Amino acid sequence: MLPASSLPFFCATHSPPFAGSNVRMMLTMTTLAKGFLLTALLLGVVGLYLGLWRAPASAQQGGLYRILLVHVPASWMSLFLYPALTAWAFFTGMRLRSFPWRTIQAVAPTGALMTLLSLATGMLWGIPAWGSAWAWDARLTSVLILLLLYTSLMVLAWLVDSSPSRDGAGWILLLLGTILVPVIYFSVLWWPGLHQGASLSWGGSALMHPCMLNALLLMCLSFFAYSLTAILLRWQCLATEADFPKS
Amino acid sequence: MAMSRHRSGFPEVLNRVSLHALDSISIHGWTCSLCLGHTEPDANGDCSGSRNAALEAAAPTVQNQKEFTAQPMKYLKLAAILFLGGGIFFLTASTLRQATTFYYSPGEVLDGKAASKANFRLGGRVRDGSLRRAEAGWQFILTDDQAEITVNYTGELPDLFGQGRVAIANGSLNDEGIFLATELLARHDENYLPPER
Repeated sequence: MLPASSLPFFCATHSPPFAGSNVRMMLTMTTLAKGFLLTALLLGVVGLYLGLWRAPASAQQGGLYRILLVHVPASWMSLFLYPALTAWAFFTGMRLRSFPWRTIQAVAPTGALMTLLSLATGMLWGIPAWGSAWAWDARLTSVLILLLLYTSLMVLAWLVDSSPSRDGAGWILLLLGTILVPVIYFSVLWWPGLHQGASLSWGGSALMHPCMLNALLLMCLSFFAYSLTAILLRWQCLATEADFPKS
Repeated sequence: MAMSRHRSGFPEVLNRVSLHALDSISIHGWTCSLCLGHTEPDANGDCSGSRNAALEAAAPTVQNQKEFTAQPMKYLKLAAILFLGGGIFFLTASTLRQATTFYYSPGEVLDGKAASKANFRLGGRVRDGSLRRAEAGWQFILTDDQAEITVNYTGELPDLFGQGRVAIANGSLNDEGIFLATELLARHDENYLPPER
C-alpha cells in the first residue's frame, strides 16, 4: 500500500489502493521531481544573487538589463519545450499507436507559461528600454504565434472531444510549432527589427560582465530544472487520475 | 459499413516499421500480406479471400500491422499534405524575407525602396551633434554611414535614445525629404557591458 502523503499534494485523487510495479515508478518520479525542484530553487537563488547584487550595471541601460535573468531563461525554455514535446509525443505515439494526449497535457502548460513569462518580461523591459511595450517585429510576432500554438494544444487536449480529427489537428500543431522554433531563433538574424540579437548562442554570448553571464547560465539551468519538475508532477497526476478515477 | 479504427490518426505507414508483429505471424502470413488487399490468411491458409473480408477481419484489432497495404491512399494523402505544406512554408518564408522589413535604413529610403509605402519605419544611428529642438519637438539626423535623413519628431524621447545610438522612427517622408516621425523607438544591441572605468 502506498501512503497517500507520498503523492503530489495537488493530485485530484483519493488515496489510491494501487500496488505493483507502478508504485516504484511513482515513488521514483516523486523523488526525481522533488530533487529537480530543490535543484531549481538552489540554482535560482544563487543565480539571482549573482545577477542582482554582484554583477555591475550596464553602461546603456543601468540596472534595467537585469530583467534578462528571467526573460532569457523563459524564452529558452519556451523554445526548447516545443521540439522536445514533439519528439516525446512522436515516440510515445509510436508505442501507443494513438495520439498521446497525456504527453501534451503534461508539457504544454509549462511551455505556455514559459512563453507567457517571456512575453511579459519582454514587455516590461521594452517600455523603458525601447519606449514601447510591443512592436510587430519578427521575433515578437513569431513568439506570440508560439504562445497561440501552445494554448491551442491545451484547448485540444482538455476541451475538445476525442476524435480522429482532434488527433490530426494535434499532429499538425506539433509540426507547425517545431518548424516555427528555428524560425524564432534566427528571426533576429533574418529580419532585422527591434529586438536585439541573441544573448546566448553556440558561437558565443552577448557582451556582458562574466558575473552576469554566470548568473544567466545558472538561471537557465534553474528554469530547466523547474520545467522538469512541473512536467514530472503533472504527468504523474495525470497517470494516477487515469488509473484511479475518483468514484 | 462503418468500421471503427482505434489507431486514431497516427500515420499507418509507420506500422510497417514495427518489429514485434513479425514474431506473431508465420512466414505464410507475412508473404500473404505482400499481396495488396489481403492481410491475414484465412483458416485454410489461403490468401485469396476477398478484400472486404480481409479488411473486416483487420478492422477491430489494434494488433494488425498490415493496414497500410489495404489503404495506400491514406499514405499518399499524407505525403501530399506534407509536400504541399513544405512548399507553402518555403514560399511564405521566402516572400516574407523579401517583403517584410521592419525598418528601412536611410540608404534604402533614398534608393526608393520605401516608395510604395506612405507610412514606414526609418532606422539608423543618431548622428552625433545633430539633436536639437525644433518647432513642435525635436530634430535629429539618422544615418547608416552612407546616407542620412533628417527627422522631425513631436513627442517625448525614449529613455535609451541618445546620440550615437540606433533609433527607429515611424512616420512618412515629406516632399522636402524630411522624415516626419509620429513614433520613436530606441533600439539597443545585446551589449550589456558596464561603463568603462
